[in-house]
Amino acid sequence: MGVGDDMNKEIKKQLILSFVLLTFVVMTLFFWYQNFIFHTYGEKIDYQYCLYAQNDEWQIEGYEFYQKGKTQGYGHARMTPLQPQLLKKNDEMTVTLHLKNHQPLIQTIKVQNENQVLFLENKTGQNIFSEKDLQNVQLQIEVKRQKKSIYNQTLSMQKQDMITYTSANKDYTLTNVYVTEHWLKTGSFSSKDTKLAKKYPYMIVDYMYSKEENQEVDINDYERFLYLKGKTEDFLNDHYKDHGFYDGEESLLDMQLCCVITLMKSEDDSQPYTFILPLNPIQKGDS
Amino acid sequence: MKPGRKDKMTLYMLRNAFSTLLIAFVSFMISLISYYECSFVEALRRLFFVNIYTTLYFLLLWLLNYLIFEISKIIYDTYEQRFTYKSCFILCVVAGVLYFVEMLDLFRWNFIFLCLFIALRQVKQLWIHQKRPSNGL
Repeated sequence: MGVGDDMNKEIKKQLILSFVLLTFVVMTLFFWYQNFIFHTYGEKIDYQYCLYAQNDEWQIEGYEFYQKGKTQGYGHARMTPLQPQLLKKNDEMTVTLHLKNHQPLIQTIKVQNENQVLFLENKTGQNIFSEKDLQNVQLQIEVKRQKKSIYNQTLSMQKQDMITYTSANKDYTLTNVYVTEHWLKTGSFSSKDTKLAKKYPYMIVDYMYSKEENQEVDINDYERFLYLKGKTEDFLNDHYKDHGFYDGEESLLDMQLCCVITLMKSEDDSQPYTFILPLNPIQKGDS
Repeated sequence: MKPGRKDKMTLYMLRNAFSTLLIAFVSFMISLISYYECSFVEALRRLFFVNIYTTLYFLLLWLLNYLIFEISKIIYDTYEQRFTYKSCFILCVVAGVLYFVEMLDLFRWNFIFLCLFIALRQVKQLWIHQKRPSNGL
């Protein structure tokens, strides 16, 4: 046998080995593809802001601005009157939002009860504002009683420090949970199982917090903060969003957060499938 | 095999490993930055610190690149007499065609860079071959 034959044999061996390895790698990449897409290219939001303002008479929390794809939204704030007799039944309140280089955005609320805590509606649309407009936001509050203006003040709104939380196990993810010190916006739930909504048509999502600093999640340490119940399909299509306000003295950012997901075959399923998704901070939400 | 040649071989293998790693890394960065419209640092964080699945897929893609490159080397060194600058041109055309093929941008960029890298290595070998026989590295 000549030297050249030995070389050819060696090359053949190398080539066969490389092709066997290549087949293994390609197969692994192929079978992992869905899993990889599911965990890597999750839902994205262009931006999310949460604003806060306070003066002697009002506390405004959780005024959000967001852009998700082409849809923009604002509102959802909680307005708490801090002085007694500030609001009376049938008062008309006009909340005007002044953005930099932009037409004012006006929302009107009819007061139902004396000193009622008000929640601003969420308004959505396209091209309402740009991210640059949110540099200097002013909120003008006007209260009219029997068509007479009795209160008119403008508050400067401050952006709040926000952290995005996420959670994932092998089959489920919960992404884009936005949290500030006293506010939380629920995230987007998704599953690798494409038939989940058929298997479990209803589901419950509980957002919980714990002041204990344990490494392991012990659900007995947690207190329920937000409760959502609805159709699984709505959760998967991200049609179900809610906002929670935490009124304790501590900051939500210093606590451990988790979600308890309950998947049910019927609305009153006595043996639902329940699991915990611990929420982990990933980034500043305002970037 | 002479000791000097063995050292050189390790060096070339390291170079190939590094180049294919760079190809996978740049492709991932382009894909993540364009998808999330985020900064380089944010894309880096998403690649290595958000979940293990992304990181493992990145390492697998690197391994795939390395294997394809090694196979291309073996094929080239075996049939080096038949290869001309024309084959490099064909590889560049394949890279151009890949740009318009509908697939995940991560794979598109990865295979474009890989084709160009293989073409570049062939150009280098052809250029060396004009002076002296191929060293097969």
